[in-house]
Parts: sequence; C-alpha cells; structure tokens
Amino acid sequence: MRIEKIVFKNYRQLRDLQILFEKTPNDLHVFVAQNGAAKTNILNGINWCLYDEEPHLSKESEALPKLNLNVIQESKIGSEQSICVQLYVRATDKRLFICSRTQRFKINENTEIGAAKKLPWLSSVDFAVTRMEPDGNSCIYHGEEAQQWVERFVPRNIREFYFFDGERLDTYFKDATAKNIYLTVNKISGSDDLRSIHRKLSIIKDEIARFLGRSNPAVERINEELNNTRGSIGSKIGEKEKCQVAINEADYEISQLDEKVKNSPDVQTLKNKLDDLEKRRVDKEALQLRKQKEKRNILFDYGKISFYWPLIVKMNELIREKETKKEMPPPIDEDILIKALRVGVCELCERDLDDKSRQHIDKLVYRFHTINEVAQQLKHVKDPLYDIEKKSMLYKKTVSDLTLIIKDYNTDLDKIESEITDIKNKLQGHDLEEVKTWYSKLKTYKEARDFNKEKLGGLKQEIDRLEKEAAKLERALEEEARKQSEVKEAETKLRFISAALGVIDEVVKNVAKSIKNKIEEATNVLFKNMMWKKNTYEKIYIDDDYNINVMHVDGYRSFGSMSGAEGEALALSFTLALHKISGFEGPLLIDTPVARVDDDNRKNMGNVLLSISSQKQVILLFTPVEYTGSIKTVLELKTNNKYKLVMDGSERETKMEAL
Amino acid sequence: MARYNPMIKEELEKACGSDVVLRDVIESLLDIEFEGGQYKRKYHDLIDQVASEWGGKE
Repeated sequence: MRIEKIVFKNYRQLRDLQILFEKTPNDLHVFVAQNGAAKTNILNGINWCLYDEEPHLSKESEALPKLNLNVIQESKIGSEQSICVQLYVRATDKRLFICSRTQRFKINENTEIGAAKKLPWLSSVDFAVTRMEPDGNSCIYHGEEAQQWVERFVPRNIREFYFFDGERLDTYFKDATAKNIYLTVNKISGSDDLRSIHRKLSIIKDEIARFLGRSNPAVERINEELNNTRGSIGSKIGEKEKCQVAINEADYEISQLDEKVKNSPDVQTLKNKLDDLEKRRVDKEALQLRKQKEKRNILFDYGKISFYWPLIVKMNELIREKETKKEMPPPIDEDILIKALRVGVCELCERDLDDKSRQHIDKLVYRFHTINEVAQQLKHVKDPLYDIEKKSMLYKKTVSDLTLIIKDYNTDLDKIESEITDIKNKLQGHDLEEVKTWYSKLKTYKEARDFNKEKLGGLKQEIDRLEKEAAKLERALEEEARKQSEVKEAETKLRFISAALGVIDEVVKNVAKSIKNKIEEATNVLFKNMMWKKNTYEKIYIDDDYNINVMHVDGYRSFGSMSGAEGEALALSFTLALHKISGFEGPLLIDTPVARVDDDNRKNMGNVLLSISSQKQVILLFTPVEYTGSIKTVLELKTNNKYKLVMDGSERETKMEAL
Repeated sequence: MARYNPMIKEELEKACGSDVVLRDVIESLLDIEFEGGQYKRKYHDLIDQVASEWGGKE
C-alpha cells in the first residue's frame, strides 16, 4: 500500500496544494520546510482526512480556524467556503482508494470587540471513500461505511506505527505500551483476522452443537460447560493483560525513578537514621552525665576520708598489733585475782598471800582495768575503721571504672557525632522533599509490580488449567457428537469446524512466536546499523508480551538510561522491524526524523531509511537545519522527489517548489 | 488469495499438512474477512459446501 497523491484545499496554510508521490527505485520523498511552513500540517492533514483528528497540532495552531486565513479574509459575509483533503492510496492488489474529507462553512460576521471580524461556521461535513477496481469499476462509500474501509487499510489505533512525529520518537515506548504493541502486531500481521474467524466459527459451532444437543442432552451440558470454561479463560486473559500493563507501567516508572534517584541519597532512610542517632546522642549524654555525677560524689566522699587517712592507717596498725599480741582484751582472769585478794590464798599455787604478793596483785588488777578500758575502746572503733579502709580501697577501683566508662561514652558520642555530620553532608544540596517523593514513589511502584507479578503467575497457571479443561471438554463434545448417527451431517460440520479451530489456534500461536523472534532479530540488525555507539549495547530483547529491553555489554538493563537520540534509533528500528516482519505494506511518514540526532550519526539513520525506501514508501519531512551535511549527502543522490515548502508574503499560505 | 501475511500462509500450510480442503477453507475465510460485511451466510455456505467432501476424506 502506498500514498499516490494528496490534495489539500483551504486546509490551514495549505490553500491549494497537490503532492504527487511518483514511484522511483527508491520510493523516498523528501520535504524541507522552515518551522511554521505547514510541514507538520501535512501530517495533520493526513490524520484529519483519515480519522477526523489532528494529533500533531501545535498550541498556536489549535487557536486558529482550520479554514485558510486568507480565504476567510477574502470571503464576503454570508458566503460559503469549504476545506477538503483527499488522499489517494493504492492497495497491494492494485485497487485505488480515494479518501476524501470535506467540511463546509458559512462566513459569519463577528461582532465581538477585539476578535476576528469574520468567523467560519461549520455547516456540513462529509467523509467518502471511493474504491476503484483495476477493471475500472468503482464504488463510493460514505460516513460509517467509508470509515470501515479506512480501518481495514490504516487502522486508527495503530497509526502511530506509520505516521510519526520524530520529535516524539524518544517517548515512543511510553506511548506504545507492550499491550499496544502486542495488539498492533496481531492487527498488522493479520492474526486478528484469524482470531475473528475463530470467533465466528465458534458461534456457528455452538449453533450446531445446540442442534445436536436437542437429541443428546449430554452434548448440551458439555457444550454449556465448555462455553463457561471459555468465558473464564477470556476473563482471566483480560485480567492477565491488565496485570501485564500494570507491570510494564511500573517497570517504566521504576526505570525512570531509578535514573532520578541514582545520584540522590535515600532521604527517608537517612532521615530515620539521623533521628535515631540524635536520640542515641541524647541518651548517651544523659548516661554520661549520670556517671560523671556519680564519680564526683565518690571523689567528694573519698576526699573527706583521705584527710584522715594517715590517722586511720596508724590506728588500724595499732589494733592489728594488739590483736597479734593478744592484748585485745589482755589474757588475764580478773576473777582469780580478786578472789585471791578476798580469801588471801593464791588459787593457782595455793599459797597464802603475804603483803608483798597482795600489793603485786593489787597493781595487776589496776593495770588490767586500765588496759582493758583501752582495749575495749580500740575494739569499739576497729570495725568502722576497717570498713573505712576497705571502702577507701574500693573507691579507687570504682573511680577508675567510672573514668573508663565516661571515656567510652565520649568515644561513642564522637562516633555518633561523626555519623550525624556525615549524614548531614549527604543530605546537603538535595531537594529533600522531591527526593523523598521519588523514593516513596519508587517503593510504591516496586510494591505494585511485585504484587502484580505474583498475581500474573497465578493467572498464568489458572489459564493453563482452564485451557486443559477446555481441551478435555472439546474432546468429550466431539465424542458425544460422534454418537449422533441420525445427525451425521451436523456431526461432520462440527468436526470440520473443530479441526479448523485447532488449525487456527496453532497458526495464531506459531505466527505470534515466529513474528516475535523475527522482529527481535530484525530490530537488533537495524539498531546496530543505525547506532553510532558500537560497543555499548549487547542485544535487544523482546519477551512474549512485547516488553522491550536493551542489554548493556556489561550485563545491565539499559532501557531507561538511553539518550533521546538512542531511544529514537531504537523506536525507529523496532517500527521498521515490525513493518518488515508482520508483512505490513504501509508507508512510513516521519516528521523531523533526525532533530535529536547529531550530524555524525544522522548518516547511519539516513542509510537505514534509504535502504528501507527500496522496499516501501518513505516520506520524510525535514527542517532546513536537519537536512544538511551527511544525511543530505546520503539521501540527495537517491531521490528526485525533493521538495521545499515555502510561505508566501502573507505567511498564511504555503507553496511547494522542487529542490 | 487477497492480502495477508506470508507467514500466516506458511504456518497454515504447516498446520494443515495434507488437508488441502481445510487449508483452502481457511484461506477463503480470510478473504471473506478482508472483504468485510455480513459473514454468517458466506461462512455457512462455505462449510455446507466442503464439510461432506472433507468428511468423506477423513
């Protein structure tokens, strides 16, 4: 399928313009236009003609009427004017389709002060598709029917895979989610047609089974069970797709956030650590204070004792000496002495006491009294003095222990202080609230992704089980149908349809697998040809659900960290691979294809686009700044279809000139 | 055959093997899909037309 001609009448700056796309060996068409010279409006005009939408309209253009400004200015109040865009598309089977969208307006007077004096009021719209057969027969379709024809050739929901705005290519994989890509592959590879046939054959099969069921209730029961199982499979697949979409979105957001937080501290964790350290510092300081007080009190008590210490030591030595000499109390039996004095006989030697002996004993009794009194006093102070001495020895050890503990506290406090400073340094220079939000979002997305991954695993198992169940019921149904000899014809049809459904299932499955592998292979080849960095990326992987990832040579997943230009190269490689492998014969139109790529690397992209143009129609809309240097050299020699779009003096109309 | 991906044609041939009737019917159904419009009568006619032939070969 290729665009043969586009005719613009009164559409924005394109007041009267016809573009013919002549086919040459390289079906390459180059347009160069300054900003504002309606380059992007060619893309908008095509979209408007086919889908009644202008997805690439600039903010400035949105405020302007679609009808050409000069036409409005030159029109008389009350006159009628119209806009028309016609797209001539030649299908692969040689049929020509002319898509034509027309809007008619009445020019009214505008009395609003400070506004335009004339306003176009929409009076009617028409969309028509003319189908011209190679034998000359033709047929015209209008409205809904015409739109259905457009959907068959260039479906609206996959237009982003052939009509590009190059400036948005770097966000391509955000807009074109894995689910969207998966649906697109099915659509443009024709697998959707097979699915549609499957659905319709299943309806017919159901009708036949119901007919058979009337003569065999088991068939109806099995059929009902089969339908319920299929319904469950459909619903689980729907859930699975939602899950996959959620995982893809989370993966994308995580890769973006990972990129953002790569050089930022985990503020929440550091804040928590800081709070914890500050609390520990307060606690530690309180403990240190308590121990210092304890030490002071002990030193005060010890100070008092140390004043009397020499005296205490001397007293204790005296007591110990007395004790050694057994003089505490002295070993004298006073009662024997007093009895000897009283009876005048010594009890020990049984002699009578003379005066001299009596005087001696009197002296002994007196001395005993004196010594005993001293001994008693010493005995009285002995325990307190020993206690003070013991405590004094303990004080020394306690003070030494406390000194060590306080020192340890100091070391701990220094360490805590150092950690606090370190964290404060790390936090400095970052927008803490923003970083905190990133980390919080990252956590949420990771949780969502994990949750959905777990759910996805469960759903896959459930779908597998249900599919086995459905296959079992299919076999049972066929078995029951075989028993119906009186409805042999219906039975044959049922078996035929079952066989067809089996074949379609197998083909859809194999095509999907084969297409995915070939797209992956082709994307890798195209990407390597296009990429200027030859030693950075190892391989592009596409999983069964069309999630794309790029593997760095060092084994990292690099999809989220690619530059805008690299992302554009990847998007373009993937799209070209998609076209090539899915057998889609559509054109490729790119507005500002290399705006984000520097001149050295434009050459690679130019060579790839040139190579593609030998197989399909490629339309490129450049700005003059883009179409210079190496890419111009590459493309210039291979196409004669080069045009320049220029504005007239009024800056309201665009003309086309050959380059 | 109208337009469709050569890969589908290839896989269809593989899946149908020697069952040419079945393959032709699915290819015709793809043509019907491409043309659009009401499908039921066309599908029924096609199946009525080939089912007995297919059943006889089975």
